[in-house]
Amino acid sequence: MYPAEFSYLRAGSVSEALDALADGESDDDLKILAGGQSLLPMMKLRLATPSVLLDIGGLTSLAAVDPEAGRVGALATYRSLQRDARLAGRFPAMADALSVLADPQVRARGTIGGAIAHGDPAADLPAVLLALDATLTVARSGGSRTVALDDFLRGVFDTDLADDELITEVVIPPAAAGQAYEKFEQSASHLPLAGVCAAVEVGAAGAITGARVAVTGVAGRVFRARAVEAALVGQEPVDAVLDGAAAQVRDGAPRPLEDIHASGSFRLHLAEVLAQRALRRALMRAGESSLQVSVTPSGG
Amino acid sequence: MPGLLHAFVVRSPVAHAEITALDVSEAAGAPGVAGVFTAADMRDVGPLPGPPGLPGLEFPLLRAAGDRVRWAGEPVALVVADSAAKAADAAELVSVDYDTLPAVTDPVAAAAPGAPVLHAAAGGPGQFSAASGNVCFRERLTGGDADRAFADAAHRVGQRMVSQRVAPVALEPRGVLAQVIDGRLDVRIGTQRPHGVRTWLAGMFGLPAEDIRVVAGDVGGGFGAKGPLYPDQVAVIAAARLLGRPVKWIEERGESFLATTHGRDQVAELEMAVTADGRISAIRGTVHIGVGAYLTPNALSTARNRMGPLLGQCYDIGAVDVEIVGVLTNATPIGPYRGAGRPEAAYFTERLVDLVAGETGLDPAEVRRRNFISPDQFPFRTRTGLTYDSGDYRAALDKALESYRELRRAQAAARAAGRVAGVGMCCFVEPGGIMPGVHGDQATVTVDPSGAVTVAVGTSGHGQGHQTAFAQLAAELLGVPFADVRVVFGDTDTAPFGYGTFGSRSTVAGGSAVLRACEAVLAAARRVDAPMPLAEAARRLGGLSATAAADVTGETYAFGCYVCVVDIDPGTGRIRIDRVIAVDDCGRVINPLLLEGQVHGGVAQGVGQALFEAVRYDEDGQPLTASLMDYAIPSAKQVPVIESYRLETPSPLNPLGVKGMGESGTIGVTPAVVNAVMDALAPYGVRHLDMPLTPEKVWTAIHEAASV
Repeated sequence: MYPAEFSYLRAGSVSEALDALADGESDDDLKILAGGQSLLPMMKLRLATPSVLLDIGGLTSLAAVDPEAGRVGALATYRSLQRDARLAGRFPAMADALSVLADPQVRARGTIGGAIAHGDPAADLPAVLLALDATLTVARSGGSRTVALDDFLRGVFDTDLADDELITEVVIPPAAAGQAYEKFEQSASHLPLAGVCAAVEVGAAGAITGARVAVTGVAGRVFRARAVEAALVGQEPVDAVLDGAAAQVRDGAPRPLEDIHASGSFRLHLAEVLAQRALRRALMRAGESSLQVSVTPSGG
Repeated sequence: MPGLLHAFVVRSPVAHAEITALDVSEAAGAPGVAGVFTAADMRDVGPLPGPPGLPGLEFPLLRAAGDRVRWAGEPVALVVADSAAKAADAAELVSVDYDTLPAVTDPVAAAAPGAPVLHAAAGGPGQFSAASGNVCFRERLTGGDADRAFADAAHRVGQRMVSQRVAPVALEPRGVLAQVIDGRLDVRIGTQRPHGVRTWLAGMFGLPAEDIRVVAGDVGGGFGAKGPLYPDQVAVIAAARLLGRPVKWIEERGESFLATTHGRDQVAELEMAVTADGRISAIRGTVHIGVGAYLTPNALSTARNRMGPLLGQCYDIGAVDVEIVGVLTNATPIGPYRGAGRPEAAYFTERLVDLVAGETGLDPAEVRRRNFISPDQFPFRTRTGLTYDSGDYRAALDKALESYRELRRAQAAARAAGRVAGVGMCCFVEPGGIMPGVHGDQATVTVDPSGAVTVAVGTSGHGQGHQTAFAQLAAELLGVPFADVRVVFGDTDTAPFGYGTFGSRSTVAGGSAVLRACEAVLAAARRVDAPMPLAEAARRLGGLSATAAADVTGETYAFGCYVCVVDIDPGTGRIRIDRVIAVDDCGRVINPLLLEGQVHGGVAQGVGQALFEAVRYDEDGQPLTASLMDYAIPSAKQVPVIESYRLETPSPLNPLGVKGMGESGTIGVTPAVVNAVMDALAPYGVRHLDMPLTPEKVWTAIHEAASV
């Protein structure tokens, strides 16, 4: 597997990278290399043929993580995030996703920013970030903008990222402890055939006061299952409510993906089952109100 | 390596087409390109070997304008350049116009009237003719009076079953490095059959065998698929000779899914006749095998020498009437793949036996016991013409089912708790030790004056641990320390003649040759005047050496019983294999760790076929599973700890009493897993599901049954 010819540049600073992006004409012309865990295989298969590869791997300032502020540098690797106990404490659903994402080799190099920029509809972390209402800081030469992840992800390998832009940071607002991620793997790629992140808040009276449910792997982009959320808010967290709410996952869902690995209807069924399970674990965590260190998601 | 060139194979992107134009001129002029080759350049090279008795359907070497391509991945041209990247770049400049034709990849569909026909008449009169459409082979295997047995039967149990097409996925794809050194053709090639390759190349290039050296080196897995010689490899070798420079080619992973032979692809419609007391009196039906676009030498023998005759498995079945139909399809050619016909036979038979249990109300273990060939019936001649050497099938079953009562109790408890749990079993025989020719594999044992021993053998291990097993054997026979013995094979310049390693044959064939050669060395050592240790005798005599051939006849029949316990998540259909209990009897065991290693590897591949793997094509013959992102092989997470046991019923057919067993994992575990899953789904009234048992398939079966 040999990529088409390309030249390689290594950015010495963020502004150098942004200037290079501004000068470049398109993705075919210049492509950012972060962890390379999606880009390099595509280049080897000649599905991507950039003439210039701009390596930003040395820009350590982009890898900084501040768990208290919920700020995660775009260049932070999955592994560094997995090893950050403070992050796992604040965002247990992220710890769930990181523990079932790919394999140790990919986690050592793959980055959170790279995953978001790639726009794979079957990716674990975007489901968690969407359920947690994450926003992105996107920089270009001469400025930056903030964009909600929900607005940034558009479709299959399609995002709002312009050719001269670079994701620099992911910002996750403070979240309650009641959150969990459940995954059902595609047996070959180990990507999610379906993955559901549930984040819930429970009020003093015991009723659910807030719910966010995000689904990955099922449709062309990660989506919020708003009908499920609406069916939960104000309700008691009992079996009938949870299962009834999970059954709403099809309501308003984008058209599901169909391929040799699963039909659309089975993907939606999995989303329902995973929603049931994610909600239960999220509520368990909400009830305990403290970090569960050894929870392993089922369906691996 | 000075002057080294790299090759890239231009392959057909379509499954079935006429090549209306083929222009390599732009590619030939690209930077770094030393040559671009097509069929015109292969005219002086003889055809690849095909199956005996059916000429004209073997792999062509490369293609030219006016030729037809018959599978997506078929080699069309070869680009040779001074770097692999430049060869890949130049390959994009090879211009080929394809006039596509309808394609067919399913064997039953390809055999039906009206299917697109792949080949015009091939071979001479009386050989394959397009009048038969794509059916290149049709044979009826009969014995006893099946009609009578069915007429008298108390039960008739039939099922359509598919042993789906799978890809071998060795860790190391194929490759070859060819050059001419001092007038000799020197070929480094990932092969299981170095002497075979030498013989075939000698014939194809018109060279004496001694002018060719073939070196297998350290082969990263073969599983049968590195047995055949391939057109891409021969084209590279031809290019090296034409260019007078070394040429190297390493297959890409995605390429290997298209270009390396596949296994299985058999569709069976079979039924058993059963007496009132649960005795299977006959088996009959039809099995179609999709052999792919061209025939490798083994494509037909897999079905007619292995699958068909083994349909009786461990049982004393009085009659058989099975038609085996070989069908050409627009798919990758079928080659040997771990088991090569034996897993298919075990699967078809063992599924039917479980269905017989369901029909008669007998426990599946009881049906097996009532039908086993008993130890006093050996050597046992099957109705299908095989002679089993020795066996004790009841002992293997009893051993595997030692905890049967507990397993069933655990299942009942799991069911009471709302879980979907199953227990399944498979009893099987495994022929091994085949001798493809009249003369046996050879071994040369040499003792240096220093006492160091070298064992050179004609088998060709590629991960089985022969270096250990044959060293152990020689050390024990010669009475020397294990550390003093070195084993060599795989290089035709240093290894004596042999057929290579495949079909679970090497312990029998190689081991027997090593035994005879050691005996000859010991006899030679007796020339000294007094009894003394071998090393001392060697020192006095200035060294000792002897070559001997394996003198075994007839195949050995290893056997076993595998039991699986599964738990199914009814919400998702996901199957978890909780236990694999593997009882293997391969006669005398040289090294139990090597045996277990073979079991583990075979079990992983067998689990792969049962639950994960399938080569799939769309309706145009486009491969849908040509990468590890889509073709699911099991990882360590999916295979539990394997509880491996062994029994030893020696074979009377060779002096060591050993039987080949390298493929037993793939033979034994696949039916055991499927039977366990179907046992788990029995309360839902599900009769049969085809492999791979994916979560969607299983969940849908549960869901549809529950909603009835």
